[in-house]
Amino acid sequence: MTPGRSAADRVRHDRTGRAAALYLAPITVFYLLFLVLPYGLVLRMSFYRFSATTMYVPGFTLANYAAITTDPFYLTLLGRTLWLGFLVTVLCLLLGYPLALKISRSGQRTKTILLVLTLSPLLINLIVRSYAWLVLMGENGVINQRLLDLGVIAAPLPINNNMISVTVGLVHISLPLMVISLVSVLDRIDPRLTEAAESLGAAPGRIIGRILLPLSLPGIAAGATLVFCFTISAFITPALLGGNRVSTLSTMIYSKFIAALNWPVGATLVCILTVVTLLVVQLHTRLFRER
Amino acid sequence: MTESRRADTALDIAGLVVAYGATVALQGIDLRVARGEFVALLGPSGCGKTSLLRAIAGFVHPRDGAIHLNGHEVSNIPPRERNIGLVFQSYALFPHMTALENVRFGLDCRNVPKQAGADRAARALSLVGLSEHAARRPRELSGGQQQRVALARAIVIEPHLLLLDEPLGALDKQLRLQMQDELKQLQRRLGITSLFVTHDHEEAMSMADRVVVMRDGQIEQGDAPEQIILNPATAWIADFMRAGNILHGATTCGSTGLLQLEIAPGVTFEAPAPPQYHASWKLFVPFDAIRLEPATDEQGMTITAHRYLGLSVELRLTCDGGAIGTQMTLAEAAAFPIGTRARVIADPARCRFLPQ
Repeated sequence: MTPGRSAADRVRHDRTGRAAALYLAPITVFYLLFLVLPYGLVLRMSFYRFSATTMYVPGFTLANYAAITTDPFYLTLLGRTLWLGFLVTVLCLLLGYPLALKISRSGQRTKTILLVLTLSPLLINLIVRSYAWLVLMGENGVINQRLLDLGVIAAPLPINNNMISVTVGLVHISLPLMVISLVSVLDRIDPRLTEAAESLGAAPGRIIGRILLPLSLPGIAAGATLVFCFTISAFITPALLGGNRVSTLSTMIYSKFIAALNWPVGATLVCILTVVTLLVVQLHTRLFRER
Repeated sequence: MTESRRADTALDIAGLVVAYGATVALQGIDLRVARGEFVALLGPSGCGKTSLLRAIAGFVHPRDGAIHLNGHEVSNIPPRERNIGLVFQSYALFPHMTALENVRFGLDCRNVPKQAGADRAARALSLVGLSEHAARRPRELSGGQQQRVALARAIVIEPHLLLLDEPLGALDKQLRLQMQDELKQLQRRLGITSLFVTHDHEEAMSMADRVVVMRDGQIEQGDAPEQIILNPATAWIADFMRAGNILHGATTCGSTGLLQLEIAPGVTFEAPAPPQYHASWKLFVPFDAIRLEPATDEQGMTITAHRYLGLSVELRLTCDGGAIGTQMTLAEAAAFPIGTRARVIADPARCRFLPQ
């Protein structure tokens, strides 16, 4: 502490510190009880051993981790989950960037309308929405039925209960997250930069490639992180749109806990998923720390 | 357009009308800028000077009128094909590129070969005295240095026309004066036709070959800087340029051919009677046309304020509701302290009645 600082200052500082602790106490208790404690219990469970008769045997073993990280079945599952996350992220970026560009360059009125439309998927219940996709994409769904009627195809397209339907469903719910992240960054780019580029002779493609894309990298990274983490931990969409044929880490965790009653392996999968998510977030923070 | 006129005219604007919805920003602008000329567009905010600049650059589509650049109509071609250099008040440098990359950008757009482009960009940077900062990014440069990079970026493409939108507005006064000199010298040396938007009359006066004063979307007067001060076309311009007093009141016939205006009992000014005089006209009395003489308490006006402007002083005098200002040197002002009275004598030959 600097010698110039008065006792009154110190008292004031202590008082604001105490006040802050008081304000933050309820939320701290809430998180301790409903976030830290459950995660701690799950972590502990992942070190237990499975037992067919007593469900689990308390103790400390890394056998679950060893088994999962060497079993091709689980490695394929992990690979599929990460691939799905990657695929959905890239599709959201490709679909979302032009839309975000359009939104950020629109007048106030058009902007509001486009933003509300973009966010509208978030306003519909997830399960209702998933069933709507089933109605559309099912074997006897609207799309297949219409194409069959028109004679375009001879047999229903395999667009249901597989990676395609899961990907479409996930892109649909993740797109708003991507677009919002992109718009918030694109909005902060001074429109005079694009005017300057234009006056210097830059065609639209060069303006996007040399000015807008590099300057919106933080938004791309934030949106990609958000969508990736959201996708690899999504449960309802892969469960409903994948039938029982597309399993991801999340659906596997569900079936381990609920169907197989193998809590130790389920808990281990939860911990692996959490670590993957934290790694992605950590990577993002490292690359895009505010400078 | 005659051949000779076309040859020395870089920019020719005729009947330009710009409107945003129902708001008319420019109502019929006619302006011709000679090759190599440095013109200042001067006016208060909202007068349309920035709209005019943006219409020339191509970011605003005129509702009517024509813009010819080096003899070619450009109203319908996009900004990127006009070959106009633009310098913004906010610099608008690309933050993710170095100074050199910023300057190179326009050359890359023109597919100038790599080495030639690097050489030309480096030359432009050295022209503005920033060679040793070529590898720095904009945020590592001071405001004045950023402004120089913006200037280098605009001139390296060898534009037909250089447009500057309040380019020095964001700099502090000392730096602004220095940049005014540098900008003017550079413009003379390169001979680039330039159009410079400013709301600062001193800046316009000190830099431009010609000052175009705008008001409410129209050109009020376009003339050499000293002419704007000595012969303002309207009372509004004289007031905006702070060139002297703008007085109004009842007029009577004075000495031969002169019209007399009384601003307070016993305080009168005279000026030649204009041919189309109207009662709404005002009397322009330049600061330097006024002479003060010490007076006894019953005569003249009371000196109420001194305002110091460097080496000169602006004096305010009042009398029964009438007020007037004048300027003199510090030494002269010492003879007229605040609270004393002085007789105001103005040279009628220098005073003029002007329309609104």
